[in-house]
Amino acid sequence: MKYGVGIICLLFSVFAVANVQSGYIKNVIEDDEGLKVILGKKAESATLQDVTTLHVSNTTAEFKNTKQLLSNAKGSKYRVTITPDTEKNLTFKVGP
Amino acid sequence: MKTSILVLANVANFFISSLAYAQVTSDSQLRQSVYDLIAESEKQGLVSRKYLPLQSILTSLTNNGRTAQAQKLSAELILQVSSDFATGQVKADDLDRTHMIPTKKLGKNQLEAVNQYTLGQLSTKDLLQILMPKNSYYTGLVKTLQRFQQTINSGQALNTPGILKTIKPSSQDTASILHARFRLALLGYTSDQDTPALTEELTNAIYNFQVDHQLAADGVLGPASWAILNQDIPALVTKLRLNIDRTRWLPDDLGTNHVFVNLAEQKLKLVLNGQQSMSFKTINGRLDRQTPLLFDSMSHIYLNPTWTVPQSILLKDKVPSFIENPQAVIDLKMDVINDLTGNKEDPFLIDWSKINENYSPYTLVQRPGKHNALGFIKFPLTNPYAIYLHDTNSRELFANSERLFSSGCVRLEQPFEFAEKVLNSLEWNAESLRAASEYLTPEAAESTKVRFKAIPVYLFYLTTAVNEDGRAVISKDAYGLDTEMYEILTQE
Repeated sequence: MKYGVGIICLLFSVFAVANVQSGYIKNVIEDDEGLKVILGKKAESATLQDVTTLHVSNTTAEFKNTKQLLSNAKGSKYRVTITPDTEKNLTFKVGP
Repeated sequence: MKTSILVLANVANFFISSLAYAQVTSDSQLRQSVYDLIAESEKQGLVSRKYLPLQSILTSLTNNGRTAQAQKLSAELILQVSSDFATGQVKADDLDRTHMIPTKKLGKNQLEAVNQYTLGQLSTKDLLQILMPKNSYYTGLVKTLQRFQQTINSGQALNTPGILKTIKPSSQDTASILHARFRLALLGYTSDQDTPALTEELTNAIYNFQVDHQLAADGVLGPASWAILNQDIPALVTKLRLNIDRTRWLPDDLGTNHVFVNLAEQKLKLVLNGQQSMSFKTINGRLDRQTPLLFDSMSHIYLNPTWTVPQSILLKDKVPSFIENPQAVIDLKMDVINDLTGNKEDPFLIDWSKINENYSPYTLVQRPGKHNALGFIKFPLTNPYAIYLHDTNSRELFANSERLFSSGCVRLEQPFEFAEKVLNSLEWNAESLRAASEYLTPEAAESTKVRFKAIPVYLFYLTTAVNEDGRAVISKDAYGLDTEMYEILTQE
């Protein structure tokens, strides 16, 4: 998936995230329960002190798409903003 | 739930249209068909009080001469009762819990049978025969229920001795012995209700009852055995009906080979070629991490598995202990992997108090070996809830009569023998599996994947179940499914 055309918004039902998170995807690690996403503050490099993490449950309805999207964005220069709404949906904003 | 009601209403309309054209049955015949169906279904476990409000409306419509509406409601009731009888009065989706149980629907031939019944072209008995679930769990429980119903109808259930004495070789208390026979017969452990003495046959029946109920098996009927055996009969009948309703969720054909874990009984049964091959104890999810009901499958095992600690267990269980004592990471033979670099980290250099839901950049992996939480064998399933079957490094816990200790996975008492049977291969047996695992040093052990033909796995919950020998086993409602279903069925 390419992100050069602007902002791409996708909605997914995700249960595991409680607040807005933003950053550059440094790594995506799959475990028995879903995906752990490592977000860095900068596009270039990151240290353990700079990162935040979020966990996306694999019981999410659109889990495969979510996984694909997040994996594609790993290591890219595009910033990802993840905003849960009151309906527990996530908005992924992916753009430069 | 709303969708299914809508679908039922549409199908009912179809029947009503056929009815209007055919006019082959009178209003009173149709109404009688409704009552017959409810009465006969109740004998096979349905809770009839669920339909009382609609029956009351039907009576009112009839008394007021509103024939068309009465006909429509009759057809709707026949369809509703038929659907409930075949697929369950309560559905798994109605429960407030995670599950992976597909919703059953009436098949084409079943719908056709309902149509014929509505038109007066099929008997109640024939309709129920077509709708009836065909799995053995259902059949066994219905037989048991019918024994209970006969007892209640005969008034025999009311004759309970004031004091129930322990029944042992020297026992002379005829009243207690006869009552034990009566209760054991109800549950299918004996057929002799009349001999007023302790015989070898009765001792064997008591022994089997104790084995089945995971009591100390000595053939002496003491307080612990009486407590289970002499439960309130109306309460047991309700329990039977609730469990019969759950068996309606099961497929008619569970598979010639399948694994059935009864989470209530905390036991696993392996069926091969249609026969029980083995049965042993399991350890299931504790009350705050209940093992979900799943229809799943397995097709491979891992020998000497590593265990990647799931995020939820890491945060809830591990981090608090590592804050206190980072040495625990080393004692548990775990590696801490830096999620940015993939390198191993020294657990003493990590500030575990900073680890939380939004900051957890480490993955914990427990190395293979006898210390591993999954033991020597893992049996992965396909569900997305990280629930699977596995060996354990805490085998002493199988000595407990109640075994709700896991975080949701099912731990197996006999993993090697079980693996031998499901692998069904010349290459592997319990001994070679043990040799491939136990005799390897943790450092040398590597995860080995062994495939086999996929086999269905049912993680189910029956607080009364009838075993291969026709004996009913009563379990505690530890997960509260009976209570939850009862509330749904009896809500106004």
